[in-house]
Amino acid sequence: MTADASDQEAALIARVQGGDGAAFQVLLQKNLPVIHRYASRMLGNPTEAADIAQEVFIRFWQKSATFDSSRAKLSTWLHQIAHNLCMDFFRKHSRLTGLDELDEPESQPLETELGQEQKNEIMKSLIGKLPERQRSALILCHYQGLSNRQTAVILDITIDALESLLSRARRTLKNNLREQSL
Amino acid sequence: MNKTEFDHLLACYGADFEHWPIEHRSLAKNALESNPEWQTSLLETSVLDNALDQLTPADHHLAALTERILAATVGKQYFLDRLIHWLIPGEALWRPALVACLPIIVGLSIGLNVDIDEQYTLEEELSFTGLVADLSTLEIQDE
Repeated sequence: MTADASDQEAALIARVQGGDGAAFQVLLQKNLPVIHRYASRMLGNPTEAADIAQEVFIRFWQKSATFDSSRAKLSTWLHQIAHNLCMDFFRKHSRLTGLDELDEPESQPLETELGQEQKNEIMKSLIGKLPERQRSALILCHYQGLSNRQTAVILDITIDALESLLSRARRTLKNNLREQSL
Repeated sequence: MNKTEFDHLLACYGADFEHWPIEHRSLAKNALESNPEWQTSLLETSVLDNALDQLTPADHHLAALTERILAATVGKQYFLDRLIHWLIPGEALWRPALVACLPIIVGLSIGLNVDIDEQYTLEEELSFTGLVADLSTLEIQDE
């Protein structure tokens, strides 16, 4: 983000903190697709992701006064809320593994050559089978384009711990891809 | 940057240097130029990166979700703003004209619905008859 864009965003946040609905709408339209995409990749379901995204922005509106734009980027804060809501969702639906150990999905040998759509489905399923924190680390760094520092803040861990999550996630995916012959 | 550091970062952040921590990017590029044999591990890792990059999420229509969020947050203020924006837009002049004509349309519709052949009640009839009789008496007196 350029300095101008950053200043513009800080000005909009200040207006939201003052209860300006138009400024909120601008920030919503800019950030909603990104947050929805993150939740969608985490949960693997766009409808559940929409509920998470809605809750993220309701919290942003209600708690904007607690956000200090000089200390953190808005995207980091919004991703952090989204990440915590996804973890709550997994906990409520008993889908949280609680483990960051390797969680090897069962191999499904492929007898025929796969089309791109099928390959995408398998890849999506392999990502979905990663333990939640590994999945979140990978999605934030690879797909959401966040820096390692931002991702570590969102996951509330050190850079070393983040790198450990990332390398385990990638190793699992790499092994499973090899088994799937993708 | 030595090979161990390079392999560690490659294992964490993948083959695209854009995903690497900013402080390591140019170091990695320089190290790779000086050590072409490191390309092998980079190419191996790029297989996973390519598979990850091909996975694009389905487009989801977010207009309805945006409306839902605005209704749940800024609420009335947002809808008032939208109404004002609808009434006073930049280009569509027919809208303010329509709003200006609205009182005339309402007046006409009320006027057309009034029944002019309405029957008066007995009391009203008597009152009118009495009034006419009074006026006739006054006219006779004047003569």
